Amino acid sequence: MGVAVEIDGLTKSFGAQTVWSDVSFTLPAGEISVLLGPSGTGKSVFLKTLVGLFRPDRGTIHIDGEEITSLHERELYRVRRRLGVLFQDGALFGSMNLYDNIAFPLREHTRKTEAEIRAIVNDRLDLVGMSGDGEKFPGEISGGMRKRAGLARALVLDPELILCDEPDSGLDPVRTAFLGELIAELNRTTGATFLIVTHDINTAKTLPDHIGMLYLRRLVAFAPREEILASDDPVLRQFLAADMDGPIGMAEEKDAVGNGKGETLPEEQYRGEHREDA
Amino acid sequence: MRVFRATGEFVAFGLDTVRAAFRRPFQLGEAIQQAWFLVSVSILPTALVAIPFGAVVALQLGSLTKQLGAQSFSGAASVIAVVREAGPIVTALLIAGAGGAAMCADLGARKIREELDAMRVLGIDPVQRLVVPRVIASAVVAVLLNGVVSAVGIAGGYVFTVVLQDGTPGSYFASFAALGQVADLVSAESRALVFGILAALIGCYLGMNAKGGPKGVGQAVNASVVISFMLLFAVNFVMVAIYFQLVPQKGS
Repeated sequence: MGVAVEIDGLTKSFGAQTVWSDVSFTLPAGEISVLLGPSGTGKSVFLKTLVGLFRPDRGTIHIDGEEITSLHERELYRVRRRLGVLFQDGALFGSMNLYDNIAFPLREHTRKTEAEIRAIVNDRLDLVGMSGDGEKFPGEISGGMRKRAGLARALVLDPELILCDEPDSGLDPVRTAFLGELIAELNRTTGATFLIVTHDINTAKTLPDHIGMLYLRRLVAFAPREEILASDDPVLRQFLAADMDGPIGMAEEKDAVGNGKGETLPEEQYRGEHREDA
Repeated sequence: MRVFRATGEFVAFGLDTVRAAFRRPFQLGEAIQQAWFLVSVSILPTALVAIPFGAVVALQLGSLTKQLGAQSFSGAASVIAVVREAGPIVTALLIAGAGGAAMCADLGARKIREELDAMRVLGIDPVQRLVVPRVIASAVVAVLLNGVVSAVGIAGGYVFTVVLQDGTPGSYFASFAALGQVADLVSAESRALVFGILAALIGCYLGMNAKGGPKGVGQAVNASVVISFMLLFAVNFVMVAIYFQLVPQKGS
């Protein structure tokens, strides 16, 4: 029941700075894809563009055949109900406890009774291994727990497409492995399409069906996992081997010199900008 | 150019808020909670500012009316000063300084924690969900605060005129009726209403557009206080000028 996402010629810039340009690939329905890339290559921006939080300069995004870059805000809200997004730090509502956080989409979008909501919320808490933690507040739990709670909230409306922004950052290797296993399990049981943005190589080597990589403002590759792992593209090889020798340097702006292009995007430049302001 | 752009975006934000205000379901719980919060941060400072304000107006006018030989009007003049001007201004300062700044900090923190993005992705419009209840709460509380400032200011003026400057209670109230009119109160309350709406809109707008981490939130709060003060005083001047054009004054 997952949906396919077709991305064609997508380009995004903030002011004079191009984040990435002419990105085209298709997320296959019901499969897990990972988008890799060094820090600061606009992976988060890409994810936010997919859900319509940023409006691209050019290009189209079809989710289940529906073009979303030209949709109005109100119509976007309708499409977004079919998606689940896990933000970097979970993005839980600080004013609510975990139970209310996870129940929030149900209370907003469905007419379920509190008893039905309780059953669903407890089921999702169970799924992410947090049963009994519903009374806690986001400020009282660790980063890893916030991520899992955020995932539980993303899952509550049975989404057909699940996007995860660095689900493994700040987690130890064991927890990362468990989280990866949980994602694989969810993919098997629900059939939802997954796109995971990360720079964790272990996740990339084990979890996905497909791997894509963003580097220097463009998509280096998007292909089945085995193909990428066996690739002899210097950028891919260096990144996957975590090697210091290769085209990727210490800082993005140094890499860009060879191309005669501008520098990388400091985070604060884009954190605040949204399509609502554009 | 940036100023024009920001102004345009702010106006668009205001229009979005107006449109969202008519969209169901209205977040009544959030509005009541916000109103209660606003009252709790502003009621005590309001009273503490209003008493000395009423007193200083009474002192100044008491001395001025004595120099002009019009002591019998000192009560009237001070009450009119409090109701017409001090009330809305004190309300503006408190609602922007305490209420708007707190809203800006709250929404700014939510913004940098990506809570607002999460909300949009969950299919909820943060303007409808968070901004509309705050603006309405702020409008209601500003109108009520203005009433409090007027009442406290009049009481303070009475104490200073009658008790400390040996005025007579009768002339204090009689002269008030001679110069003041209901339209003064209506004008003051409508200004308070506008100030409440504007202060909340500015606080919410700057909070939702905070960028650059915790430092950015601090800057947004700072900007929200400065900008709302400037804007509220300018709007106050314009609304008072319109009032004097439209409403004939007693005895003129």
